[in-house]
Amino acid sequence: MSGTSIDVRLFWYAFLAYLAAFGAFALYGATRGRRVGWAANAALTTGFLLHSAGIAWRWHLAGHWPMTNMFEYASLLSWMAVISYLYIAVKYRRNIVGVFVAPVVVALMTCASLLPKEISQQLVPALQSYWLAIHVSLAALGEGAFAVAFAVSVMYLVQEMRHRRRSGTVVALHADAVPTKAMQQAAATVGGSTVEVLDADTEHFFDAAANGGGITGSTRSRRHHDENERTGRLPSLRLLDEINYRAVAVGYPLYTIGALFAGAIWAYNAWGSFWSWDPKEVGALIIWLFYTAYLHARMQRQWSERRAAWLSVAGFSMTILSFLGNLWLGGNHAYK
Amino acid sequence: MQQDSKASDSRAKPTSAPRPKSRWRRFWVPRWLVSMKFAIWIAVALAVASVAGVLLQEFFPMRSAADAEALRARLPDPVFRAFGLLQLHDVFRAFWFRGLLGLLAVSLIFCSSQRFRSAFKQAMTLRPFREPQALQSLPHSAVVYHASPELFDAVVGRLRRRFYFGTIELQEGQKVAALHQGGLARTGPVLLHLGILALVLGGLVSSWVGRRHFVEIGPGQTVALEDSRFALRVDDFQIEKNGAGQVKQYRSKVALLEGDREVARREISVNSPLRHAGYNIYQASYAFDPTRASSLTFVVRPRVVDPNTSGTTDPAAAHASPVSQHAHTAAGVGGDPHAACGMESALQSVVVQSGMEGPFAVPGYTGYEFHVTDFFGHLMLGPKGPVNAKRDFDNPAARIEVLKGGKPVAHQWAFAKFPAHSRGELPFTLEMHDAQPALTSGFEINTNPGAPLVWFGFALSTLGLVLAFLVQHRCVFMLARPSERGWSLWIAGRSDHERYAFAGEFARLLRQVKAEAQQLRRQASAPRPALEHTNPNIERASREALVTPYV
Repeated sequence: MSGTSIDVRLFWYAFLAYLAAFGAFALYGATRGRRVGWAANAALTTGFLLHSAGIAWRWHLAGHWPMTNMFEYASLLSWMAVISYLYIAVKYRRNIVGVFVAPVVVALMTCASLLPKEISQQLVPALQSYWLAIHVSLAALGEGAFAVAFAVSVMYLVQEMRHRRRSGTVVALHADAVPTKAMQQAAATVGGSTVEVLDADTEHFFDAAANGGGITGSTRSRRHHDENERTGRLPSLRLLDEINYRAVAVGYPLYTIGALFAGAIWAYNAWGSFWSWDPKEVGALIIWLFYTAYLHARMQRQWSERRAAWLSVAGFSMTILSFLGNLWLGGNHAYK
Repeated sequence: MQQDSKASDSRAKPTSAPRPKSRWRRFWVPRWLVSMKFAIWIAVALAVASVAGVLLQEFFPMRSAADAEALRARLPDPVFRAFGLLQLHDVFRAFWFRGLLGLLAVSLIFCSSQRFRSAFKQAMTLRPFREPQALQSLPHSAVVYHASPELFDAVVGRLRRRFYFGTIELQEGQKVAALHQGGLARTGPVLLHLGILALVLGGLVSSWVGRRHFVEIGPGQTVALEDSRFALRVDDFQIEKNGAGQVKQYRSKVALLEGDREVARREISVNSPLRHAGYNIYQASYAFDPTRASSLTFVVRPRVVDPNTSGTTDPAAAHASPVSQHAHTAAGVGGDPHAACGMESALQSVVVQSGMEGPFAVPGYTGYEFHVTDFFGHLMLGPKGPVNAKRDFDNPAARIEVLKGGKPVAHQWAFAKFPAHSRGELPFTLEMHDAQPALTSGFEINTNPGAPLVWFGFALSTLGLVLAFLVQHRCVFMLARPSERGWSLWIAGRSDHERYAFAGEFARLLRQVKAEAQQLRRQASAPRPALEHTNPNIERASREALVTPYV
């Protein structure tokens, strides 16, 4: 490491701190110890400060905003994800969210660590504009918020799966032992599979008993009771849905204004048209469409919150694909 | 799992609520056109088409005639024809892609108009609740029994100081209030949709009506702009490099001409275009002009007469003979070994500047002139003669015409990499010792008639985003009337998107209500007020943050 520049060294130190935070959050997830939670947040914050110092030093060395190659952007993206997590942590005061966010941050840092770290001393003429800072930083901040939304969506889906297990599942072992109408609905998927028997018309408790063979359990309405209850170590579904929404509600306007609008205005100044259907632009548009669909889905009562959570997961996956696609596809954004 | 999701989705549907009538029904606009589902399907189709467009351009490019021929050879004939029919070589300008964008625009128009009036109405007015049961159904609610009648006014005053505004009705025996903060947040989504509509329309207008082309011209040259009354003249072109020789910036000094009149003059660079009368001129690139050199350096070398052969001898051959071994001693101009042979020579350098205009006099040879008729940056002999192999400067060569008395007398070639191989039938040879490439400046010239609509769309969308996401619409409802437990004040609140975040604010409000009630109780000797929560569906943590039951 002796020949490594200071900014890269700070990057590695931050990486180590994030790894420590990851481990501490994992321990917190298992034990829910308050001090462990404090230590995890402290490690994450330390990593954030080291990371910030690294980015600042790189800025000083390069003489321009350090967001002009793949390594710098991946590093910036993970930094923005930590900022978004800290915002959510202060607003909602739920350390458990860090258990799912820390792995995402570590994954992004890992991705950055694999990329070439040389500083591009001379910016190509197209990048010599104040729009570079506006466009890239806002886009990264938006994607950082999406990263937190992704983590919270995963939490939601895990919690929802646990709810369904606890709320009542019917294991239909024998197709012919289904005395009730509700059980007959479940009989369609016999074979030892676990199904949830729910009466579509009413939401009330009921017990179903089978004659020999099948084991039944009681089922009850999920929506009105479990959504407001914490089950196990994770917050309630409704709170997770709100945190997910808040993360997307922060990221969506930033991404729209930064990635799409600022990028289009800059393209108009540099290349002659607002939109060139460049591969990176198309990727950004598809990411935006995913989150637009998420927001619409959340407003529509016909869409379950689980579908909205899956959309959030898919949106961030598209973000990663778009980032990696820059390695292989050409276009105006590939400064090769 | 599917059964489960169907069951849960069917349970999630609102029961037996009639669908609102479509405002556009009387214009025979089908309901599906106004529906959000249709807009989402169009967006999905656009996303899929965009991905397809990117991949087709990457793996099946057709940017030139050569690409088209290669593609024709790769694909079966029907597929290639379908490729052309559907314009798959340029999906983003294909008729069906523009049609999708148009459908999206139509859907946005109908969806926005359907919701426009209600959004603004909700932003401005809030309907109060006049029954306690209605208040109790809201996410956050509480009731204060044995309250003072002035408590209502005190709470309203407190809310007004926090920028809550709305409807207050004072009736006999009852006071109702419906106050809200951030009502403009309701208009945010509509403004955002209208802004996106403007962006899409602006893009379509520019795509159909706008013009775009690329020109490459060098300093001193003028080119007429296509379908335009303007012409562009380049006066100068400079490349700025840093200490390591990397290109830092490139700039052109250009003038826009209308007829003979200069209407605009600017130095443009990347990110700094010239805009005039709807035309936008961008510094896009630069390149070597393989057919021109900015400066050429020639050395005039006399042709040596060999007394043995009684013919002229190429100085290069004379240099190779043993007689001329001592020619390496420097003598004459520039240390030319030929001069050391004792042969007469008149070595002079002539530097040809800018644009290769001529003719130039040959020094030492009265009456002789020369000019460069053709220049090649990378000369290659093709089946049809000399051509440029590549667009670079790897093998500069010039074809020179020599004049005597103003009339051409000879032609010769000069090769920068092989100066000694210049041959001719004259008493001298012209050797090219240096060639500096001529640069051309690449300009992207376009018109963008949809630009004003796009700018408007940016502004409207940004305003919509701020209102929709950064402003929270929070409502507080109050009802005060006598009840079996004295004068009672019901207070309830809601926030559309942030129930948990609003819970804290509502809890703070209730603490203040408690304080007000205590104060008013001290002022008048009244029974102790009691505050109770009326909605059990509050998360335990939020409930713990609320006031204790008795004040």
